[in-house]
Amino acid sequence: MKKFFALFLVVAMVLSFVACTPTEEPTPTQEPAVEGTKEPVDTNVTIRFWQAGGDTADAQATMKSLVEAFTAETGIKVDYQTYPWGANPHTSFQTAIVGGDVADLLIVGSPFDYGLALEGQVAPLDEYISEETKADLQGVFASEGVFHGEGELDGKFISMPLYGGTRTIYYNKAIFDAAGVAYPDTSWTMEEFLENSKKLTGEFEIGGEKKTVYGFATSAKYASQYLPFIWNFGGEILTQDNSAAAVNSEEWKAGVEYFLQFFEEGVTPPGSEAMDLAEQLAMFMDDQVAMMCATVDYVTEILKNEGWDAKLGVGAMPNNNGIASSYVGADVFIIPAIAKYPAQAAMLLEYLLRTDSQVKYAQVVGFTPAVKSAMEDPSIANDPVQLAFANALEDGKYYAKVSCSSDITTILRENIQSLLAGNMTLDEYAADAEARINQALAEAE
Amino acid sequence: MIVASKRERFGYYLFLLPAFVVFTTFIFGPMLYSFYLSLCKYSLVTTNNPQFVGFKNYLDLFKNTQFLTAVKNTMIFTLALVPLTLFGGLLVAMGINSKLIKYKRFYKICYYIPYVSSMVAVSYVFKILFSSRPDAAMNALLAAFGVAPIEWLNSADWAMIIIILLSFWKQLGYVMIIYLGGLLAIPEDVYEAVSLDPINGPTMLTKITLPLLKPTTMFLLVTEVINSFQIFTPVHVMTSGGPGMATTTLVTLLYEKGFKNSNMGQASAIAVIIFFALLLLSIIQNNLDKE
Amino acid sequence: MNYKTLRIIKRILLNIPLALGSLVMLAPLIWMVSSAISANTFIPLQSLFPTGEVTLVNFKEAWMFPAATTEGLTMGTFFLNTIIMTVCIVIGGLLFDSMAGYVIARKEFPGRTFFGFLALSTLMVPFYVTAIPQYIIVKELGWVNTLTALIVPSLASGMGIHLFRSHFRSVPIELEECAKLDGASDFRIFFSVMLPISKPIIGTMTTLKAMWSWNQFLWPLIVINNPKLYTIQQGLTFFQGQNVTQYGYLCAGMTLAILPLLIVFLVMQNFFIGGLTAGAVKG
Repeated sequence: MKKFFALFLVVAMVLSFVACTPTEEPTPTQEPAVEGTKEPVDTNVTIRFWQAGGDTADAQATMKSLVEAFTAETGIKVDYQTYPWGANPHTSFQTAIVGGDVADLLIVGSPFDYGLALEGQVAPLDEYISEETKADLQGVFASEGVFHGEGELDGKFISMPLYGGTRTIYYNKAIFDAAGVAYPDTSWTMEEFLENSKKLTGEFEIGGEKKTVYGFATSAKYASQYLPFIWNFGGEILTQDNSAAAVNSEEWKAGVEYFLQFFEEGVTPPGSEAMDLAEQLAMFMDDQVAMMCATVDYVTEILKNEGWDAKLGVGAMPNNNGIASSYVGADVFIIPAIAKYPAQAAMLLEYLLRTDSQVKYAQVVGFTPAVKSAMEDPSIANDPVQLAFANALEDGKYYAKVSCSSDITTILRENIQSLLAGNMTLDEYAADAEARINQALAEAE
Repeated sequence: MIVASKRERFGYYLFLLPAFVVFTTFIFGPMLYSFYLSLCKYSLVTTNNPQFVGFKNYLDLFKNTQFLTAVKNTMIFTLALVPLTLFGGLLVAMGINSKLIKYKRFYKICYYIPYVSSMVAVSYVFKILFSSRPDAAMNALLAAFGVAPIEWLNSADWAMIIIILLSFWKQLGYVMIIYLGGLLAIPEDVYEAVSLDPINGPTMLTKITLPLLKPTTMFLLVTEVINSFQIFTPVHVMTSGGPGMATTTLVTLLYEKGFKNSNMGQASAIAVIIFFALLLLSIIQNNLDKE
Repeated sequence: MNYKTLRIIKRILLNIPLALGSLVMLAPLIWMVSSAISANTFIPLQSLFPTGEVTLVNFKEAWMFPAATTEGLTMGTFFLNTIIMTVCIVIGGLLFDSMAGYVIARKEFPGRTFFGFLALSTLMVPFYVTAIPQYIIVKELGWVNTLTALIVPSLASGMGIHLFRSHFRSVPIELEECAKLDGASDFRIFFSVMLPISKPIIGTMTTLKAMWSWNQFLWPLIVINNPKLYTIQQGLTFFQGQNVTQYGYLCAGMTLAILPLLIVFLVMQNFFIGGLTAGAVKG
C-alpha cells in the first residue's frame, strides 16, 4: 500500500519536474528593424541560425568559428545549430515555421527555398544585401536566387548560396593505370566516357590485389546522376514556363537511352537501379569502382583517407558536341518571413559571403565559393580540385523549380527504375512520366 | 457486479479521466482535424487557413497510380506477413511448450530479442546485410554455396520479400510469446481427459488446441493486421518505396505526400482511408468472433 | 526400441529446428555486434563472427560522433534524454492505463462499453495521421523542444488499457467485495488490492511501454529540433549521413541503440514473460 503511494508520488514529482522544464525562450521581443533602410540595427540581440546538413565535423567547426568572428566584430550573438541530413531538417524547419517559432537565418537545400517562397514564407533579401555582394556572386547564382512567381516576391532575391554545390566526375588513378586508360581531360565526349567506362570494367590488379572493378558507379535513385546527360542532349523536365512536362521528347529519350547503356553494358555495379551513393562510395574506396559523379564533400571525405592524395583525380563532365552540363544543388541562405531579427540575420548572411569567410569555408570544407572574389584567392585558384568543380559550376544547371519538385523527383525515380526493371519500354516510360508529372502539376495548382 | 451509487460512479469517471484526456487531446482531436483536412487543400508551410475543396483529394488519389500501387503493396504485405507470423509463432510456441524441451527460457529469449530491438537500427542492419554488393554479407554467403549474387533490396522482385522477411523476423517473437500465454492457459486436465481416448496428435491439435486458442488468434489477427497496415520504418530506411514502386505502401506514401511535398490534404485523405479500412476489418472480425 | 530412446530421439528432433531457428533469429544481431568490434572497413563483414582483431574503437568514435554538430555533445546526452523519457512514460502510462482498464473491466456505469471501444479504437489510428494536428497542439501548449512533448502524448495507450482490462476481468470478484465490505473506497481498493496482485501484467506492460517509447522515432524528429534533447533513435540519424560509408562505425552506432534495452529485457525477462502468460489475451 505504502509502496504504491510512494510510487504515485514519484510519478507526480517526475511529471511535474518535466513539465516545468522551461522551453528555451528566445530573447525578449524586440521591434524588427525597419526594412530597406540603412538605419543602425540593434546589435544587442541574439539571433538564431540553423543549418540543414553541415554534418561533417569540419563544416560545423568552420561555420562555428566564422560565426564567432562575426559576433566579435558586430556584437550580435548567434545561437548556431546544425541539423544532420539524416534527421529530415526540412521537415523540422517546416514544422517550426508552421509553429511560428523559427530561426532568423536558415541554410536549406535548394529548391526547398523556392517551395517556401511560393508559400510566402521567405523575406525578400534585396533590401538587406549590398549591391557589391550581389555583383560578386558567381554567374550561375546571379539569377538563380531570384524568385519568379505570383505576388510580392516576384523578381526579388529570396535566397543566396552558401557555396557552389555542383557535381563532377572523380576517378581512381590506380585503376586507370591498371587498365591502361588515359586520365580524362575537360574535352572528353560522352562516347569517350562510355567507352572508357567499359575499358575500366573487369578484373584488375590494384595495389597487389585482384579486384572486380566497375567503370562508372551511378545510381538511378538520384535524378542528379542522369539529368546532366539528358541536358546535354537538350532534354528538359518542364517546358520553359514550367507549366507542363517536357519529358516525352526525343531529346529526353536520347539522354535516358545513353544512361541506360551503363546498365546494359554492366559497367555500373549490380543493383545500381536503386543503390545508395554512399554505398557506391564505399566500393570506390575499396578500389572496386573507377569513376563516380558526386559533390565535392565526397572528395574531401575521400582525401581524409591515407594514400588517396596520389590516387584521386578530379575530372570534368563529358560533353555532347561541346555541351557539358553539370547538376547544381546549392545549399542556400534564406530569412524566414516571420524571422524576429531579419536585419541582423542579413548582416550575418553578408558576413558569411565576404571573401575571407568564403575562402576559409572553401579551404576546409571543399565546396566551391559562391562569390567570384574568393575564387581569385591563391589557395583556391591553385587547387586542382577547386578548379575542377568551379569549371563544372560554369555549366551548372538547376533542378526544376516548382512547388511539386519533390513529387516530380519521385515520379522520375519510379519511372526510370520501372524502365530498368523491364516493366515498360522507353516510349511508355516517357509517356507515363509526362502524364504523371502533368497530373502532379495540376494537383499543385 | 456491485451496484454503485451515483457518487461512486462519478469516481469511475475520475479513473478514466487521465487516459481519456490524453486520448482526446492527442488522438481523437487530431483525428477529427485530419478528417477535416482531408477535405481541404492545405500545405504544411503555409500560414493560410485550409481551403475547403470537397472530395478532390480522394478523387485525385484514385486517379494516382502511386496510390493504387500502394494499396496493392500494403495488401500483399499484410496478406503475406500476418499468416506467416501467426503460423510461425504458433509453431515455435508449441515447440517451446512441449514437455520434451528443457531450456524453454533460453529459446523464449532468443526468439523474442528481435522484437525488443529498435526498428530503425535493425532496418539499417538488414540494409547492409542485403546489399546488392557482390561482396556484401548475404551475397558472400550465397557465394559460399556457389550461388550468383542477388540484387536484393535494389531489385524490384526481392525488395518486398526482404521487407516481409525483416518484419517476420521482428514480429515472430511477439506472436510466439502471446501464443505461449494462450497455450499455458489451456488447463492441463483438458488434455488429460482426452488422453484417455485413443486420439492422435494432429486430431488433438485441430479438435482441442486450436479451438481453445481461438481468442488468442483473433486478438493477434487484429493487432497484426493493424500493425501491418502501418508498415513504414523499414521501407523508409531501406528502400524509400523503390525500386520503382515495388515497396511503396500506404503510410510511406502518406509520409511522402504530407511531409515531403507538404500536401497535407492528400496525406490526410490517405490517413482517413487507412482508418476506415481498419475499422471495416475490425467490424468484420468482431462479427466472425461472435459466430 | 523402448520408450526411453524414442523420447530421446523425439527430444533431439524437436530441439534441432528450435535451435537452428534461434540461431537465425540472433544472426543479424550477432553480425551487427561482430561488425562493430571489427576494424572499420569499406567492405561489410563477410562472416558471422569477427575474423580479424577485435577492437572497441568504433564504439568510442560512435559515442563521440554527435560532437561534430554540437560541441561537447555525445551519445551519452541522447541516452540520458531517452532514459528520462522512457521512465516517465512507463510509470505515468502504467498508472493511467491501469486505472482506466480497471473501471472498464470491473465497474458498471453508463458508457462503459463505449469507453472500452474508444480505447481500442486508438489502435487503429496510424500515428502519421495525427502527427501534424498533434504538433500544432504541442506548439500551442509551448512544449516544442521539451521532453514533455515526447512524454505526455504517450501516457495512455489503447493496448495498455486493453491488456489491463483483460487482466482485471480475471481477478476473482470476492477480493473486491471483501474490501468493499471493510468500507474501503474505490481508490483504496484499486491501489491496495488490485494493483498489488497485478505484478505480472505490470511487468509485461513495463517492458512493452519501455520498448515503444525507447524506439519511437518520427515524433521526436518532429517536435525536438535541439540536438541536446535528441533521443537515441534520433541520434542514429547522425550515422545516416551520405558520407558515412564505413561499416564498423555504422554498426557500432546501431549496437548502441539496441543494447541498453536488450539488457533491461534480459534482466527483467522472468518478470516479463511471466506476465504475458498470465492471461493477457482473454478477449
